[in-house]
Amino acid sequence: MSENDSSNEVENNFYPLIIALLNFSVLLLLAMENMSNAVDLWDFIFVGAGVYFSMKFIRLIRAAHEFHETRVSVQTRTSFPTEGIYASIRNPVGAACIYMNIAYICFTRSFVLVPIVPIFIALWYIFAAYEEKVLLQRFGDEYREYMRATSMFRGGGFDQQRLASSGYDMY
Amino acid sequence: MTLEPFFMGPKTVMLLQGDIGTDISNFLHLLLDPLLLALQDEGLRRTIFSTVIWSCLIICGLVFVVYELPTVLTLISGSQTQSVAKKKRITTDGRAEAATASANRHQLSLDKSQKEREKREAAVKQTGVTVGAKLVKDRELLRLSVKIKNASNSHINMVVVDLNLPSGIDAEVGSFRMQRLGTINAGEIKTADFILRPMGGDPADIGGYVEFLGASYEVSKIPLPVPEMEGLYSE
Repeated sequence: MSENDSSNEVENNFYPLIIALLNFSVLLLLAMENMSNAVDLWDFIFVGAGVYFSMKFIRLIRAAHEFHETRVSVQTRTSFPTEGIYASIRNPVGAACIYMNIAYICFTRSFVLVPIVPIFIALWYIFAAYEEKVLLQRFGDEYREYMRATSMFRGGGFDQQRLASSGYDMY
Repeated sequence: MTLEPFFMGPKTVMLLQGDIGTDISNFLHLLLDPLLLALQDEGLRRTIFSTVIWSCLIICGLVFVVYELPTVLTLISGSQTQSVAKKKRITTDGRAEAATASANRHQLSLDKSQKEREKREAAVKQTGVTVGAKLVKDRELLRLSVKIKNASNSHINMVVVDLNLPSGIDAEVGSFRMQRLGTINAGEIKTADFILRPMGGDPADIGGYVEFLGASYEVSKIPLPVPEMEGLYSE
């Protein structure tokens, strides 16, 4: 599949958008209602962590959308990217949104979000697992080999990457 | 305390003889006191928090919207509906539809693999690198020698020999399944030796590949040929 053909694919990956709308509209409403007004040392630490996770969200989203395939549904995708952010993470959009969920907890500093956020994290996980299942069916061993060398949401410094690489990190 | 033995200038000696700790403390007080004083105001802290938090949330939301906007535009313009309609016209029965989709996916995968294989073979031919493998029985062990000849006009880098061993054949203790040979210059031959322990497996099933970085920085992967057997099957 040439790059030209790949770029001609229809951008029809609506699921991340729908899940993100659902996820963040609920979290935003809860955050507006329950955001803590405390301004102590722990609050500084939590807000700092929230800023860090927000930056991670932006970095991952930007890196994922460098590839046209991110916006193409797995059902119609004719290739899958293995470079850039995809060289270490298979689902950067899911990872970004999970980090943003954690950022919301840090910013809100309220226990109200603690039982809600795992539900959305599970939703992102289910979506990522579904995408991988479809890609495995479509691309078979090629995708299985790619899965061996990468992780679902967190990249870098994993044993599996070291073991699966050729020793010169050429994959 | 005298600093004469250190041969320092008189000004430096004067500076060090004074209480340097107090000076630093005074300097830091001047620098940080206004900041700490301002931060003691709870209202200001709350404003800073609120600004930081809502800025982050708004920026993150905008980033997501900007990157996902093309998808939303596609959804609004409805350009993806055509392909769906076309698909539905071709298949009427549900089972046939699933079978066709599966066959299409399989064909797509096959075509892709075939193209990839052809591309790799062409790239390997271009490199001018040849690989030979020889298997010699050494008492109860097997010695596999993989010979790589660089017949091209330029050197190849990061040469790796990686074995795929069948069940019943394992690498001997102290020997590895992968070896790095580094750089092979033009016209040079390098050999990687592997010591294997047969435990009922068929040596003809030993596979693997040689991977290297060519002169054009293209990664090439040459599959290991079936090894020549020496001293095997003769008993």
